[in-house]
Amino acid sequence: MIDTMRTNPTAPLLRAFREAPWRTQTQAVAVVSISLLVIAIIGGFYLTVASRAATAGRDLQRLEVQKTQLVQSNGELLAELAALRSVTRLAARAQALGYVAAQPEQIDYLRVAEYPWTAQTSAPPRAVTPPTAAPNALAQVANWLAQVLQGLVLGGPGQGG
Amino acid sequence: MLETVFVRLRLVLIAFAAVTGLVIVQLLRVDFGSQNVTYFRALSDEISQLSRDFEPARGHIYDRTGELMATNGVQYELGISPPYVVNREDVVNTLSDLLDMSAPAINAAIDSPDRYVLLQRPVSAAVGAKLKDLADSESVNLGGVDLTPFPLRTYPGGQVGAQVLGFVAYNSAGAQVGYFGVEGFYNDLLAGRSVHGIEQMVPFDVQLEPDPDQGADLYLTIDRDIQFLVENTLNSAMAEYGAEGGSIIVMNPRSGEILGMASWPNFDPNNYVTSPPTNPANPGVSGQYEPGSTFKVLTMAAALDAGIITPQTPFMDSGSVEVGGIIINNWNGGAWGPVDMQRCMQYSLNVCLASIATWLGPTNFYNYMLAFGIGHQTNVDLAAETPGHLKLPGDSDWFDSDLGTNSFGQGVAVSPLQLIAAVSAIANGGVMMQPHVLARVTDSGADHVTQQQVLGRPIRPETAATLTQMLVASLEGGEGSQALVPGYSIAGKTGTAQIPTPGGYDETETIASFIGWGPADDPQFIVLVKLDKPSSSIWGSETAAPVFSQLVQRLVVLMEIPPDNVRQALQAGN
Repeated sequence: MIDTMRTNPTAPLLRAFREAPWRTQTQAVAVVSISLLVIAIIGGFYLTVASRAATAGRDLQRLEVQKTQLVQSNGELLAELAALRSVTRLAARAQALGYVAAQPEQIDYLRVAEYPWTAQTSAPPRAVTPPTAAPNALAQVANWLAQVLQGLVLGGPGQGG
Repeated sequence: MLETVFVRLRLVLIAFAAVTGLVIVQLLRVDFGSQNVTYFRALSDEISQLSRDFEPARGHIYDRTGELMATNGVQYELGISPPYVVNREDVVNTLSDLLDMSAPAINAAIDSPDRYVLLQRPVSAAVGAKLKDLADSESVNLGGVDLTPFPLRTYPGGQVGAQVLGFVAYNSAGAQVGYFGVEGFYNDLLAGRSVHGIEQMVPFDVQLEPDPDQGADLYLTIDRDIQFLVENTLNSAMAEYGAEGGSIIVMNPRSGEILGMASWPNFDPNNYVTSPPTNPANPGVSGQYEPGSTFKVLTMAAALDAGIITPQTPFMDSGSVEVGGIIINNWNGGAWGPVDMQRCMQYSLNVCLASIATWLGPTNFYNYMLAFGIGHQTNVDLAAETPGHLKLPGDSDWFDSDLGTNSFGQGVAVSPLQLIAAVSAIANGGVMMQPHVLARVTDSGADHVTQQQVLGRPIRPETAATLTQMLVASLEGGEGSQALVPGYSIAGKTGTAQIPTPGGYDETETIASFIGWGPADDPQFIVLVKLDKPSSSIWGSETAAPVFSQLVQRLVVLMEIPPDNVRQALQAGN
């Protein structure tokens, strides 16, 4: 022991330092603190992710409700539109405006090339189809009519010039 | 000093550890070890999850031109959650104003110990919208009032096409079910398929709601304008001729497409409780009657096709004939002397047709009737079709005399649709097409077009052409002349059928009918008009025939069929 002290005079001091009670407790506190810090960081991450997931979930709930309301509203508008277009209402309105049902002798027939003669006897058309680009006779007549109506509404080509 | 601090720190740490340990132990106990674990889990699930069926929207129904005939609106269920009612006065005043409910009843609901009390179902969309507006405006506090939407099947045309469409009601399980007509027959297609799933209430667990298979959209062969015409014409006829009921069917004989079908009285599919369907709901398909003289068309077709007669075959009408032990007389009891087959049809002679049936013999006669589909369902795609009734040799209720009476439409029962399908074979060159109302199905974006099907070929094309000419000629100047339509060649036959009673036949009331088609050389429509017990006249020639004419005069306009001379000139020019 004496020899050792002679060879390394600082050893007892180091040993005393290492074994000092306050140092041992500091290490324990540090370990616990670091552990708590790690747990806190993980918890923080978890809370962030959970918060984002919950926010997204809430958005999803809100969007689902919105979707349901829109579908419902769409259905109501569709029903309203159909009621406005119903044959009962249109017939009553036409009658109120003084129109009467056409009789065969009141109709003049014209020859129109490519006219769809079998409109009633062929397979029914699609419900809502965009107008095709095929320049058949019916489309030409429809285009001409649309142009005339547009002209009437706008007051002719000179308007606005 | 320093040591004391460390000791205290240690104690704090131990305390924290102990609390943490207790929490962990309690969590483990609740999760695994507690007797209440089942209770807690159930409670958690009850609060956070809702197990339910996700119902698809019912498919729409359109007419052949794409006009909406049935769609989905909304109605509400109104209830109260008593624990969440904040302002009792607002809730009671608002609800008693908007609903047909007394304030005490609403107060009783609020005082209920239940978590939810149903106040009214259904509540109209208009009332629901008002309640929502009030709640949104925050002028009143409607906390605790629950407004739950649920679908309402809506028919924009009201009664138009009601018997073809049917209606939708809720069954005891709370599901929408179609009854009668297209709604009933195609209920599975229209309803789609619901999906059972769990709706998560906790935002953290929320997932996309499952997407059920939506109901398919149906496009019918019905033309709503023709349907409207048919119903208006029928209603006018009921008033004009004082009939108790009636049916009109318009069909395309070439395709079997039903363009319009109506019976009287009708019902309102939007208010089927206050304006319910009759029994049967669609007499055009489900009702049966003895057709009378319109049935002679089939007897004559059979005889012509069998080659035992021609239009010129002579017949001596003595005014009566004995078949199977009973004496058959003409409709007016008279004898018409020497006539030919053309005149037999023109004067609608029972004696002549009964004789023809005996010439044919029972085997031939009934084989032809079966080929025309008499006694069998047409398998039209409408709910509750009747097969009618045709007694056959060998049946316990068949007698030899039935051959004679059946020949002019007595002792045999058909539905209006069955008769029009059978006679359409004559209009369509001997080919009987499958009557149908479904033209196309749109399901998940894919179109499925109904294929037209041949139901049978009961007679040869030559027979059909010959009989058509006979019927055209017999109408002109015959007893059915009131059915004629200026400018159009019409083939057809009147019918005045006695109504069977338990003891025989009603002596005073009849079923008056007319079946006809046109243009005769290019048939595009076939129409059956049937009036039950008309009071102004018992005869089909004086009631159903003019109704047919009136209807066809508008029908040709709607179907864009020019008069014969114009059509033939146009066709010749092509």
